Amino acid sequence: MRLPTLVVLAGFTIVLALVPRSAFAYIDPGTGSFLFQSVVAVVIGAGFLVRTSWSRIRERFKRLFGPRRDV
Amino acid sequence: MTSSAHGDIPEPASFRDPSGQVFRRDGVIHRRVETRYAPHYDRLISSGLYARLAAAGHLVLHEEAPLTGLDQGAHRVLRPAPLAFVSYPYEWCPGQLRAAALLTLDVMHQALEHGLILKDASAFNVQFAGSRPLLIDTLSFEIYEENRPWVAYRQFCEHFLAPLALSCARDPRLLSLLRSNLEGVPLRVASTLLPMRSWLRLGLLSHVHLHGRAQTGFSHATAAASRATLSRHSLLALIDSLRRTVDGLRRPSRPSDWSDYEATCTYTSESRNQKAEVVRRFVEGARPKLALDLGANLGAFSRLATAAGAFTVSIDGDPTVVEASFARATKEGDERLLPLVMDLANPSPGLGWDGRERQSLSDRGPADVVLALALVHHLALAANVPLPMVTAWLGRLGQRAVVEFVPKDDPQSKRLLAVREDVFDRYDRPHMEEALARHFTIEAAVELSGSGRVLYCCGPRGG
Repeated sequence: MRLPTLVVLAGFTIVLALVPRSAFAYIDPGTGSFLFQSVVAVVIGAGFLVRTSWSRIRERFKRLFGPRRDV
Repeated sequence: MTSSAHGDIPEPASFRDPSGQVFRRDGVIHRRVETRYAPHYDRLISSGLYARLAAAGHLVLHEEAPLTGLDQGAHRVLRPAPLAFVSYPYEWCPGQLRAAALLTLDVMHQALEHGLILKDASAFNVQFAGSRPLLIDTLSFEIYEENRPWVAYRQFCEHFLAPLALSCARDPRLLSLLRSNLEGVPLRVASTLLPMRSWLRLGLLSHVHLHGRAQTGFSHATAAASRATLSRHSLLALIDSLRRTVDGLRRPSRPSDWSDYEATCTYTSESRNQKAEVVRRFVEGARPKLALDLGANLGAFSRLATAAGAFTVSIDGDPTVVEASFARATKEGDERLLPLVMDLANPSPGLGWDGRERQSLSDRGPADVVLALALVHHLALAANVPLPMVTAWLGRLGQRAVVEFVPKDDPQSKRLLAVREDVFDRYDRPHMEEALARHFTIEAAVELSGSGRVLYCCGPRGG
């Protein structure tokens, strides 16, 4: 499993634990959505950051440990 | 309100937005920009976003009309470029809803680059110029406030993501849920209907399943919600995640009852060519601006009307053939052909507040030309609609028509009557002609060689 997927999965486990199970009688879906996106976007944002910088990290590791081409 | 005075007629679909109402002045669509919305409108123009989106064909073009005595208190009055035909999301195939969703996200992304966001993500704000989706709500932009969560996130999920997921994971006919849920498919409903495997897809897990639960779970947390923040990075990540989820929702194409109709229909190539020739000559002679092709299948005859210059709405009840027709139109960059899904025995009614926010099919007419080819026998023999009622409906839909009559001894009619009693003693040519003559002038009746079928070319009644 790739690293970005792992980060997002781990994040979702936390989100699942955070979503309250009991529902109140008065329902205002806008409120729930507002709060939810600020939580979920942090998790997705972490995956997004890792994904967008993953290729750069991999390149750096390759350069560090790969065969030297500049000899 | 000033804009509704002195002959300005408000559009029944636009009363909700306090930023500025749409109205007709001398029959032409206009839109007021209220003073309260002025900073947002001015930013849309001064940031260059309007010019960029309009040039790309993503946002409806408009010109600023000179303010008149009727426009007191207005910041501007816009005159948007008119649309050939208004369609609604519950009439689209999944591919059209996906294209509209991707357009909305793309516009949102470009807006952020110009310091604005979309405050609405309604599927009704997207229309189709043929195969090209187009945002028509010029006033749906708002100046971006750093760290503020996206106010249209839930609307996007309910209008686009939930119905699209259902249509791909379950059945394309489920887009019709948008007909009964004009505010979008509630996420809890979508979550219940989606298969278990959808929980394993990160996009659907977060934006539909968990999001739906959060709506009830967090509903009491109004104080916390008012303090909720979302960084620009997180917002971009959210949009990226939605885009990837939408893009991944594709249904493997499976044949439907109608997808091989053009190959298996009972015409000989001679009678088919003859039929195409009659239709081609008729539409070329009528020079229609707007044509409706009812029961269009893949749109072979619709394309004769577009070739004659008409914007053609190509309607069929089977989403699979509409999907194929839309895919072809998209590939060809066709901006005159609009394929739509509709059960013609139950065409779109007037919906929304007072039944007037979304127009019925016949209220969106009349078209200049209606094609009803190989359709009437389905309405009359399968749906039991008497011929006079069929022709009255056709008369409301179009000024002129080409109507095909399929006799009872035709193989296709026999199929419809195979397992039921024939109670249709008024289904024959004389009754068809009598019914047509009540609403049209029959200009020609062409017998299609070797088939027993007849094409009636009809002009306006008394014309």
